[in-house]
Amino acid sequence: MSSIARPYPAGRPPHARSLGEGIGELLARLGLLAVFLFLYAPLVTIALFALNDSTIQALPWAGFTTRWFEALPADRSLVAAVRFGLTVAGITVVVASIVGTLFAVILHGVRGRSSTVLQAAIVIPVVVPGLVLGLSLAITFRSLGLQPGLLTVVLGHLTFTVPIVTLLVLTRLNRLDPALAQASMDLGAGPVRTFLHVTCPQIRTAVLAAALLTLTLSFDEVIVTYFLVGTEPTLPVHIWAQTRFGFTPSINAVVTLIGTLSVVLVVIALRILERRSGASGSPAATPIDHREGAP
Amino acid sequence: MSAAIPAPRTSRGWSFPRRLALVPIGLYALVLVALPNLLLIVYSLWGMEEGRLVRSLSLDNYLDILGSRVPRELLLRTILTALGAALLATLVAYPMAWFVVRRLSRARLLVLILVVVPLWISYLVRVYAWKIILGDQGVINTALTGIGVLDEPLGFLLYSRFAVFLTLTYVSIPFVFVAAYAALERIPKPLFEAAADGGASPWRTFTTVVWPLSRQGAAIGFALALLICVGDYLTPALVGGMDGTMFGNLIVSEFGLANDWPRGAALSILMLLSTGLLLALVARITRTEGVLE
Repeated sequence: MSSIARPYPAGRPPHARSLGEGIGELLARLGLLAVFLFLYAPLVTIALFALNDSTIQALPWAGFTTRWFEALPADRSLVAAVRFGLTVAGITVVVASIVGTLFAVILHGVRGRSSTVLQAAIVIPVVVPGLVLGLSLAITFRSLGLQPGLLTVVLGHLTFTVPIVTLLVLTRLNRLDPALAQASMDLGAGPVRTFLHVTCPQIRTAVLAAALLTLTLSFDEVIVTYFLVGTEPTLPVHIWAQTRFGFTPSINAVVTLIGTLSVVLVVIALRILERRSGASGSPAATPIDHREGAP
Repeated sequence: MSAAIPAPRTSRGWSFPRRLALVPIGLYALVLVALPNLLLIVYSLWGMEEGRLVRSLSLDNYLDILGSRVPRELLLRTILTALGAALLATLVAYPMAWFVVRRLSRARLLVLILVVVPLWISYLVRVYAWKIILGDQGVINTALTGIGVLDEPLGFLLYSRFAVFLTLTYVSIPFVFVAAYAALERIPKPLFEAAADGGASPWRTFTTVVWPLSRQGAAIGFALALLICVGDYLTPALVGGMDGTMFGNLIVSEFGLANDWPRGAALSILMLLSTGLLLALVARITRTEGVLE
């Protein structure tokens, strides 16, 4: 396993903590802080300018206002874009979760070269630059005679969300103890019943996590989506169109709102997943996974 | 590895060959993966004449692109910028992940979450925010002129290649961090103790134990960042100005304004090929024998 570590000459004292190391530690912590400042500066900026009482998004600060938030419901094209984006994301999540999980179960059950090749094939859209994927899909849908719109956007989003669900669920399936499914079959349950009553509960959290990821990926995607939308834009495509004129602070407001909401949702989801896995079985934390500790 | 759905020892229930179950995945891959890539190649060999698609195969698009200066230089510049941004992001995120794994215990999960949270905020808006920060009237320039460090705002901050580079580095850091963190966290702790007991300095421990066991993770993060940077046309359009234009903007303009999809397809394939070559090189350099399970 760890044959990479070479033997060392004996006699040198084990490394002890020194003043130099203390300074190093301090510098490292300051560095960590600096990176976080860098990572959060844009987020704070957006939130602040959502509250700035000016249409010009530049300093000096013009005073505090909530009017950008209040104006949101009246902005029809924005509301329509949010609604369309949610429709796309909703359909994508449902279809990608079902199809992706199904693919994972199949790939896990059928081993061999064709299985490996197919697994690699469906992952291709994830590792191709977004605009190449977008253009190739636009060409395909045009050649097939599909009008740009809901269907093309959803199909486009499926190309990069299905493989992600598949990989996440497949990882979980690979960690499961086969003895449970075997026991179920030995006791007379068929493959379908075994899947529903034994395998399903064990991969439920992985599917949920994947669905959550799919939701955020789909709702935020713009690089591929730009190539696939018709007259109706999703929210990011709408924002993208607005940036050409320099968008109004109402965009800051809606993004701040959605950002806060999605972080809250993610935290809640994490809590739920944590509690559930504490009770009924994340494979890493329960005696179900005894492969590594088996005598 | 073991199969989850165990092969039944009796033949009950599985009368058809198991491999038939792969057919749906095959169909999916055919329609949504193979067909688009095939059509992309075919389109790149077609042409446009007076707004109409000319369906005859030729290498004209490629010859034309490689024969003219602008696309060639843009491709080179794009790759260099993307490489630079991905590298800088790795140089920031990898040591950071190492520090977090090695030195933090309770705060570890918090740091991980804090790094990932920005990914949940709209990509486009995070990029746009840099426009607000870097502009002449932006946060940095106003602050610097306000306290008297500068008389005039720094013009190069926005609408420049610097702005593109900075923003791409920014969007790359979380991806590299997560990949590096995942790899570093899997290294068994006793290995560090063994190295220290053997008398290895922290640096020696790093070069002989940590890096060989985590460089694949670092490479995955680097590759992810590179892919994002190479294909990003939003960042150059928002903060790049004329100087910061990148190859992706060329492709998008062929799709949009110019409406020359075949040429856009040829540009895409050139981008794919050059990125693919780079990634193959990265994979080669960071290859590790054996698996850490």
